[in-house]
Amino acid sequence: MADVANHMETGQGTAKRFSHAILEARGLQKQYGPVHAVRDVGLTLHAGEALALCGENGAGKSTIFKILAGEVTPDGGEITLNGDPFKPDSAASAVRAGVSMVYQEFNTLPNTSVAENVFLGRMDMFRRFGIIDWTKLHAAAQEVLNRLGLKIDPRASMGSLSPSTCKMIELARALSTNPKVLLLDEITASLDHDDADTLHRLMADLRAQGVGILYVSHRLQEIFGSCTTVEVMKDGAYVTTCPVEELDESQLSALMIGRKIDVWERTPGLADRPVMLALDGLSGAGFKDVSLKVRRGQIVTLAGLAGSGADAVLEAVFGAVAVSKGSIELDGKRHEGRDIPEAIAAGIAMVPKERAVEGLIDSADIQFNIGLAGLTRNARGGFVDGSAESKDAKQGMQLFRIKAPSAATAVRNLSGGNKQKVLLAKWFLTNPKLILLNNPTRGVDVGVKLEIYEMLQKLREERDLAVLMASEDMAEVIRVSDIVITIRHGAISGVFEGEAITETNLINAMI
Amino acid sequence: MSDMTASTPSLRSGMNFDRLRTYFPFMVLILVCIGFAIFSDQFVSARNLETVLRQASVLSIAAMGATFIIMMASIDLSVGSVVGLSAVIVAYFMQSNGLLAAPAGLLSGAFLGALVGVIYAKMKVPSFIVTLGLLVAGHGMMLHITEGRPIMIKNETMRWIGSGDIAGVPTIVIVALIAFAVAYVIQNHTILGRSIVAIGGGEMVAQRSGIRIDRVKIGTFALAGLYSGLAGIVLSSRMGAGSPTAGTGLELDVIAAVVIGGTPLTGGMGGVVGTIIGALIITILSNGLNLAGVSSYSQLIIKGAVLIIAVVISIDRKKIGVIK
Repeated sequence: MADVANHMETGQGTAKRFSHAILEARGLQKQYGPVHAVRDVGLTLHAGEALALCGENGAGKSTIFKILAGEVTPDGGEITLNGDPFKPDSAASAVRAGVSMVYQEFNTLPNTSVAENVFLGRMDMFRRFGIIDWTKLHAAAQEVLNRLGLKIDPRASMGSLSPSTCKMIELARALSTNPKVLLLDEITASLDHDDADTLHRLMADLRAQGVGILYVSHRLQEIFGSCTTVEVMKDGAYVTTCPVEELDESQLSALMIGRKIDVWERTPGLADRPVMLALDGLSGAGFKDVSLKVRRGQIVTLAGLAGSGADAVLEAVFGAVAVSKGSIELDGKRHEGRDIPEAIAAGIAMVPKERAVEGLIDSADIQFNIGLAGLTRNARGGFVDGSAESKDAKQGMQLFRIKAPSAATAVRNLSGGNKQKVLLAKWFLTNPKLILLNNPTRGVDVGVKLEIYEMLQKLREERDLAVLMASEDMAEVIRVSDIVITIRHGAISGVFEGEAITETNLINAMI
Repeated sequence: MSDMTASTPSLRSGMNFDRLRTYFPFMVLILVCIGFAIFSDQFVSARNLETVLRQASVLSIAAMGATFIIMMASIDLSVGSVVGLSAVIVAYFMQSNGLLAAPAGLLSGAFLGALVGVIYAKMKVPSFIVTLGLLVAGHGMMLHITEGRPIMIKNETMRWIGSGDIAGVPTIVIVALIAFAVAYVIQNHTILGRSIVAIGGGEMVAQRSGIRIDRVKIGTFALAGLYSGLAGIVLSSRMGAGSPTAGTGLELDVIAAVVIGGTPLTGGMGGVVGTIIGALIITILSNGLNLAGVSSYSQLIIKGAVLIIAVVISIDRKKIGVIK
């Protein structure tokens, strides 16, 4: 916590305190077909400034980043870097000019060494007589890793590293180019707690050295912790710029979505409802001795840092991972189901975390995807009842306000928010007794998040549905849960209800 | 509606692409027909049309089974041998058991398919390796059974299936149409059909949706084997014999028919309607080239090129990491 306070202190200054502008962009334009991704947007980044670009999905943040990183050529506008015109025609030329970016997606090669990944595409630097001088390469990589405080052997294979560490290697790659401007796009989405801490410390160091940082994150707390200035965009257009001190989180959200967020009212009097799910001493790979109860109409959230084991508990209830000890009781009966089809048959649904890999089939249409969960529900003797399936799809689209021309629209043609709604519809339409939600609003923008919360609230009341959620999004945990159970190193570390659900309480129990 | 289409830029182009995938095979078929009609005056005749339909029957039956496998993003290289083996088995047992030999052809195909399915699904061996092995082994079995010489079929009913007709429509064309109707229903109206598309579109998603992946894989390979078995029966009836070289090279035509018909090797899309069109295109291509006097050597080169071009056009490169 001391670190956070430290960041806040160094972040006290306003834009006036910065000596000079490094990067200036004016009147940027970019059109994709009929859609204006970016309309007349400008920004100024000073030496030592950390500027957070904020906006919902589709606001145009990524396009701005890609323009600055040399990936996308703007249709109009001017950019200057240290006063000189800056027109990168490739990522490599942007890097040479001093602008480096860490992308949201993973960009490491699993079967090569850490050092090779740090200097990916720039191995020429270590060439001697046509062959690579490995000693020099490893020494140079070691130096960058040391700057980041990463205790990794530069010879180690990338495949042996955690996703979070892989992301840190990408950060090391950007650092090794000695950038004047560093672009970080949703980097913390892939980082665990310790690495995120390291990143925020590093950001403070870099700013002290006069580097300018452009930052995008859906996690608003980070912006208040580590950035100095906020620029808000909406629908591809510029909204406003101001120092972080002049805003709070709800004001910033309001600017991003264009309206104020209402506060969730916790539903009282659930303690005497019948128990739908009871776990007793459940243990397995990644979690141990987890006991809890979820009642009808109640939302219980397992809150933990990435890798805490909260996901694994949900997976175990769903039958996706094995249980080594303990029992699962569903609706008063022991649930013996040990695989996914049996869990679905028993009335359990699960919205997975990785939508693209585990959630939806991109190439298939909405109706196909909604009907896919528990195919037997609309079938008799192996034959699917097409009209029942199409009724389900229509109901799902209505219930979740999915914006698409028809149920025959392929999922890949939908926006991220609408995809997420299809995923939720798919599982709610199985009429579950218990729904497991693993980070149900991951990667969707604030507006859709709120919509999903409203639907969740409505559905659990109307259907008396028991909800067990796992979430890494602190704002979400605090907003929607009736009971929060914190998980640390695979075990329960605290149970919080009502007024006790505060950020401080939860964080202390999670770390 | 208008603001919605504006917020989803790829909607319009995406739908056009889907529609193109559906209609492309039809357009190619029409173009090929027009082309040959101009080059050869024998091409457009009732007799040649009948020949084409008869020739297309074996290919389209085998290709319907293969469509399910390719929709599942797997591959079957053993089609030629399984079809040939079934043809040989039918001819062999027909010597002593008469028409009762026909089910033996079907069962041998289904059994070999199920065997491939088990090795693929349970032992996690890539389907192209398992079926490549079966392609070679199956040919060996054919040589054993036939001792290298064709086994003649004397059964009249069997010969009627191969060369006779019902009300002017060749019997084997009717057999192919029935096989198509069954495949169409399986694809569009059964849990198995949905499961196949789901596995091809995203195996992990299918698994998390409660589909028992291994069972579907084994079942699909058995189903495709059944279709190969049927194709073998039809082939033997057409040739009037079980020849040790029956079905040789058929796997290439089958894969080409499926892919040209709009089912990409990356799976999750397409279907048997396109495959019928694809089988007609392949058959007409070789029929037309024959009529145009192109040598069979050159035809092999053209066929190989057509297959590769069709794959290049159709695959979903976003899924390139998972081709099996």
